[in-house]
Amino acid sequence: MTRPRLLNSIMRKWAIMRADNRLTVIVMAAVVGLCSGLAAVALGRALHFAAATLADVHHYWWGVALPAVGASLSAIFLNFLLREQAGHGVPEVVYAVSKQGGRLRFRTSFSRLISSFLTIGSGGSAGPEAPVVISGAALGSNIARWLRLKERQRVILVGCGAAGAIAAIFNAPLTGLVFTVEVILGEWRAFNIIPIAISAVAGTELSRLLRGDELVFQHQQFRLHPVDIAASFGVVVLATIVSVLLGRLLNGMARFAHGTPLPRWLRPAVGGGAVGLIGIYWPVVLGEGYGYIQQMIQGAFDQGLGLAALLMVGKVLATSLTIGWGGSGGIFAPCLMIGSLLGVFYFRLLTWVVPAAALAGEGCFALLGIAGLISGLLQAPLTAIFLVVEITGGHDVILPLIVVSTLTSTFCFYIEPGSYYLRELIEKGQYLRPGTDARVLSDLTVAELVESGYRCVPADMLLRDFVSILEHSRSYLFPVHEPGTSRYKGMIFVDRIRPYLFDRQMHSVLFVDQLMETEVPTVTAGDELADVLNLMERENLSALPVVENERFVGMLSKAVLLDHYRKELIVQTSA
Amino acid sequence: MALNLKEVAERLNMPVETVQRWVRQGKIPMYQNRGDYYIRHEMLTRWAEEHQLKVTIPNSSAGQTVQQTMGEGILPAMRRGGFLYHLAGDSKEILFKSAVDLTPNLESAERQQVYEKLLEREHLASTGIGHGIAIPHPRSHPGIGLRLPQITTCFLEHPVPFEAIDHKPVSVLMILLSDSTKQHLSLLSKLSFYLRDRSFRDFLLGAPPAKTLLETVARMEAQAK
Repeated sequence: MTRPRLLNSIMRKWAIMRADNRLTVIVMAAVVGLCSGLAAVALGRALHFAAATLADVHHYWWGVALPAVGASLSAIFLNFLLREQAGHGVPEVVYAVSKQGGRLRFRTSFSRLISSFLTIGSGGSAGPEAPVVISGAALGSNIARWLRLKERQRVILVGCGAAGAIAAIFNAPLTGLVFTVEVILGEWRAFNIIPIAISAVAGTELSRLLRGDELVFQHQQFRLHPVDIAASFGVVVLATIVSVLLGRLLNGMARFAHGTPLPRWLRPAVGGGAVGLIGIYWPVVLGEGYGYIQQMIQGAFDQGLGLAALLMVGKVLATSLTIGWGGSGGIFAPCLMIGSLLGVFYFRLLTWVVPAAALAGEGCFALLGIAGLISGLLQAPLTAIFLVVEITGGHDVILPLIVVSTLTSTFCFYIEPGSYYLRELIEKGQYLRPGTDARVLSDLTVAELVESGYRCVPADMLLRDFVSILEHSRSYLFPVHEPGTSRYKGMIFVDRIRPYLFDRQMHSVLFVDQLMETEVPTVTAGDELADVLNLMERENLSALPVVENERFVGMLSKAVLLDHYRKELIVQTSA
Repeated sequence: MALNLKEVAERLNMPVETVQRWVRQGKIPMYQNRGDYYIRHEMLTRWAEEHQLKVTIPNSSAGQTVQQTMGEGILPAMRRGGFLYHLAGDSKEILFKSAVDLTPNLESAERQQVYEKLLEREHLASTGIGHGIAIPHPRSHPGIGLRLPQITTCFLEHPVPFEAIDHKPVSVLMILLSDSTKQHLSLLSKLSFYLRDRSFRDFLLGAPPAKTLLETVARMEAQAK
């Protein structure tokens, strides 16, 4: 008797286990993390090689053309060979997560790696992080597709790809995790944290294994005093200014480039050429600049105060020229570079003004600058904090770090709400975080909510006949259609025609189409519910007719919407 | 400009109680000043934008012009439409033809159109509302260039069969023309309201002179108000 019961319960548990694909997701998370790590190492190696080979070329006058050719080639590769949308990567991943259920094309998993290699390798000022993030995310998405996982799990694997990429590049698993949750997914939940953490660790381990000691950022220790905390407020001010400036410049360049009559593949050449010109004088601004960032963190950066300021401006210009004009690459590495230049500049300025100030060191301020830029431009203060903590490998800098990150992101939020990554998505209304109103409204469709069963009355019906219909009806809304063709003509609101209903003389005089409202806006099945609700609010109506191909389909009412909305919210927000 | 709770509630189209709760829960950044809560207008706009809420600016002057013509009674419309006495004819067609030809404020090209529309309406159902009175009108209004609605009162030479609901021949036509359905309906229902009064109907059937008729209508409208 006990045996079968035990067997039964095991069978039941087995059925539950088979139906739940948590384990699959966890295993696949590790795979995706490894793939992302591989992509990160590959792109890093390739860029390293390109930088070493081309280092001398940038000194020749014709070296100017190199970033132009590279950027143009990358645009041709992306737009014509692979027919992909240009873009820096992270917004596309966020868009895929919030609007497409995590769907990304397979070719995306390598296209950005190659195009960003062409742009950055030839000297364009952009970062390799976003291309690796989108590649990892696309791999995750496609693995989910092959395993027939549902949207929810697919989104997690997309996040795993992003986490693995960032973790592998910076040798910082926690940063990968935090970046993914803060920027890509926007949702802290147990079921997505675990796979993402696994992926981040897998990516980091792979990159450690393959690259060994040539890691981009080596650990660094600092000793801090209260003076440093006071001084960090200056970093906040500078970082806010530079973040806003860089953001505006990037958008302005993109808008300007879009307005020029040049073909799309030629535009990046203009920006690239200009970057090349800057690069003749200051080769520091070229490429992703990891080497220089490393130098600055170690305090081994040998340029003077004025040059640091000039380089910072140059890097800002070069970055907006490269990315704004359509080069392929991310904004993360330029943020690090500009941030560290900002920190160095600020440190030198302070020690020049107050030579006696016992500050922690140039490297520490370079890190604070990095944190400032990431939390300002990308609105990702937690990523900034974790990145710096993991780079320094200790908690010594955490206090000024928190000051800089939180204050800069808050100030930047006052000036420009929304991060650089998400601004465009927010403007288009495509930025949907789980459990928000916009998310729920965009998931529900008009077709799910439409109520049929309304009786249509022909336009040439006399009021007398309409009143007799009304006697046996519970509805107070009647759509009117054209007799013969059944084309929708208008709505009758019984509550609005009362004076005529009770005037018997009018019964034989008025026709239904004289009583109907023709100015009621109609809705089609494809309309966005947020727009429909706005329409209802503006017209002060609680229901709108749904009309498809000039035929009345049904009514969409606020009452039904609220009912569905609530259930949808419950389903979406409960884990 | 600083707004208080009530003004914020008005602009957000929410009850004051809700806004109060939001303030208490710290959802809307309003500051306290001498016991009252305020928020600057710019801040409210930004806050609403962040939360995808609409801020409306309260106004009181909307929809006044429509109300004016809607509010006016049948007297000005009757005055504009004029009066036709001793209209001769034995059928709807002849009566409408001669009435439309004599109706004021119509372009000559429009007359044919109005005539056709009146007949078309009559074919659908008679406009005879009984007791010897009919209110012919077109069912739809496009093509009629009238800026203001008008009622032309026609007294027939002799009663004419009109297929009215009580099968009585008709001896008074009140032709109602306008260019919008809203005005049309409003006038029609007002006219119908006055015609329910038996003494007014009898008075009309006696083909009173225009001046006395207008005086009577003016008196009735004053009473109705």
